[in-house]
Amino acid sequence: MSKLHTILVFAQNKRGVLERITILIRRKMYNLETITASDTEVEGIKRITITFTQGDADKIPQIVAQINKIVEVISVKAVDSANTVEREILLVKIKRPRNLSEITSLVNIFRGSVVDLSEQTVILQVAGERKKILGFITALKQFEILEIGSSGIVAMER
Amino acid sequence: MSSKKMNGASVLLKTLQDFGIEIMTGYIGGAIMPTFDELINFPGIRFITSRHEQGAGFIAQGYTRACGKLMPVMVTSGPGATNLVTAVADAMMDSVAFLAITGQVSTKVIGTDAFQESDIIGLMYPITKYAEMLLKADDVAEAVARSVFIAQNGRTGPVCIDIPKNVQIEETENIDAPKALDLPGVQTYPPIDPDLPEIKQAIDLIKEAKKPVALVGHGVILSQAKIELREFLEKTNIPASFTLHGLSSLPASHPLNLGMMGMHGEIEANRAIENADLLIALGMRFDDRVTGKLEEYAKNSKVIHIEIDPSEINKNVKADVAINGDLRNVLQVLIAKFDGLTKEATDSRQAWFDSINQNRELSRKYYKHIFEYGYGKNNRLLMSRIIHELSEFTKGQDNIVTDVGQHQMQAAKFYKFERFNTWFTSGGLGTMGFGLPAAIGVKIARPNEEVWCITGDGSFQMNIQELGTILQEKLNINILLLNNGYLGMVKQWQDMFHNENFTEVELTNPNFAKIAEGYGIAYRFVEKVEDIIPALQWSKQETRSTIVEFACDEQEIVYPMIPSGWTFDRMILNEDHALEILNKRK
Repeated sequence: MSKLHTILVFAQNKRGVLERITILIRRKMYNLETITASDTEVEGIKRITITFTQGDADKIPQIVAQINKIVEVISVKAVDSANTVEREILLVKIKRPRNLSEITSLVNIFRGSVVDLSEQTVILQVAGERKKILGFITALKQFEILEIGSSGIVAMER
Repeated sequence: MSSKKMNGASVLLKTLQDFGIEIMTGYIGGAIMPTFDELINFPGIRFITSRHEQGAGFIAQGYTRACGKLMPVMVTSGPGATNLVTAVADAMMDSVAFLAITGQVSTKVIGTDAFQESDIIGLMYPITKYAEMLLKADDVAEAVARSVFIAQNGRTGPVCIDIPKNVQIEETENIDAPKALDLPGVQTYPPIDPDLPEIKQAIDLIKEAKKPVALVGHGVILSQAKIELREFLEKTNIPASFTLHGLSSLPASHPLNLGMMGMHGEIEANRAIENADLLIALGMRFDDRVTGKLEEYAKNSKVIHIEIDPSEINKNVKADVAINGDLRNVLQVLIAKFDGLTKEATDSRQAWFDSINQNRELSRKYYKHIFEYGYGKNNRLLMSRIIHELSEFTKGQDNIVTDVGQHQMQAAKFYKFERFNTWFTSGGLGTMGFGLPAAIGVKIARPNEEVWCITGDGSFQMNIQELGTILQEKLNINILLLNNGYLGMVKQWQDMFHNENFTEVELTNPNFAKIAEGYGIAYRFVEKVEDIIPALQWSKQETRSTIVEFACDEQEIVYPMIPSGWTFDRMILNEDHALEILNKRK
């Protein structure tokens, strides 16, 4: 897995802020890996976590400086993964195996859960850092994966 | 809050007036009509109707760059707004304060592909500092205040307000802008702390530099650091080279002035940069036309970068010392803190100036045929000679506005600017068609001064319709049309780098005398060197606008040249050198 760059932005909740950020990222020739936006402890302020994998690490300070110029942005920084908790939630829909215990034991190892069970399919949920998420997907290879969806990364500095 | 009610259109104009706006430009159309309706109630605001929205955008740029005040550009939705886009992108690249006010279809039909609807906010985002659509008349006063502030603070630039037709008509009691604005992302620059460690580091580098050069950019003009720049250079005894937009910030006759740097920069400027041990960048952004091959640029020199926009620091060239602030203020601090060069630096400075003077001699030698003869290979006039004559005739005191291309580069090189902020050109975006409307803006800002619009036959025709604005406003502008029948700069590249494949650069031009006549403009044609000054004299004395058309030589090439992506040590000095370096000697 190539190195993940994470940028954490706090911005006023106004129309167009996210668009201006994504325009900048495209202009700097980066491709987004994940982007999440959610409420914070302060009303009217959104937390935006952006990650990319490819690209030139030298350009990160440039992107940070450019995002900082967006009028509604209150703060922005490239976070150091050693000092940051980064989590995402993964949902995986698989074809229901004959023996359900095979799947429940695997889910337990990853401290996940079965969130939906139908006659044909099972939806599993795992939360954690990216490494764990990718590990879980690899471990599921023996099952028939129908769909994968994830929330994208939310980062919080220690 | 006042209990008086006004419609959104009136609040918009009132707020502009409250912020000191005296003049606007633009073009009327359906979705902005309610605001134009209210203009009659604001006699303190003069309105200049252009002939095309792009023209209006450049009129505003010329005005703002000449007098420092905003000239909002008001246009209609859809094509009115999209026509304005190029001028906005140009203002963004060249950091010119700019306020675009675009009409929009009513909020009820936004998103339905209504007549003359376009997503102007979406179009403007990448080319503005800020853009917003107003959804309620209640928001207009604050939004206008916000936009005016953002356009004019920090690194100046363009802002767009998109105002739907129903919001212009809707009534509100919010007719006064709030005193305080909540703008976390807009940097303002309080006086810099003189004890900042970077100040001391910069002073130490300057004191010890044996071969320093200052790189002077647009920031010096924008921060009005005329006196400070001169004092700083004189006190530290540092020669200065200029970006295209830095020109006119120090008199050309000043002994420390090396002229323009970069792709078509002077030999003395580029060689000094190539050999320097210290580069002091003052309000410039290391554009690729300035650096050539980036990896090799400033390899052997330290770099001090003083810049208002933190995102420009370390963007292209890594700075050893970076100071983020308003240039004028930073220079004041540096001047106060500087207490003399080290002995070693003082001793080596003479050798540095000797090498610079040798290169000055070389330049003079290569330009000899321009000054002594003035004709090209086809025995037609050289643009460089025409500009040289203009420079002599006006003693470097007048306002020079150009378009984009060879005539622009020759104007940058051969007009010897003696007066601060008298040079207006499209640098970053390089927009052909800038010249004529920008000259209109400069003339409106400086009605009692001479304005010379230097243009080419290609560029002139890109916004030639603005002759109509000149006619309507009865302006007196001197248009120098350097006609060589070609898109000269593209032809130059074809000549040098595209195997002389002169595709699509030859223009069949109209009879410019008849065009002049149609617009009530006086006209003269010049094809001899000895007729240049008399024509300039005639143009200056005419009380209406003039076009002087010059028969220019299509074989003229702008030298020296550092081709795109080349290193400074491979600067092409003159034609002979070009044949050799491009392996074209036949």
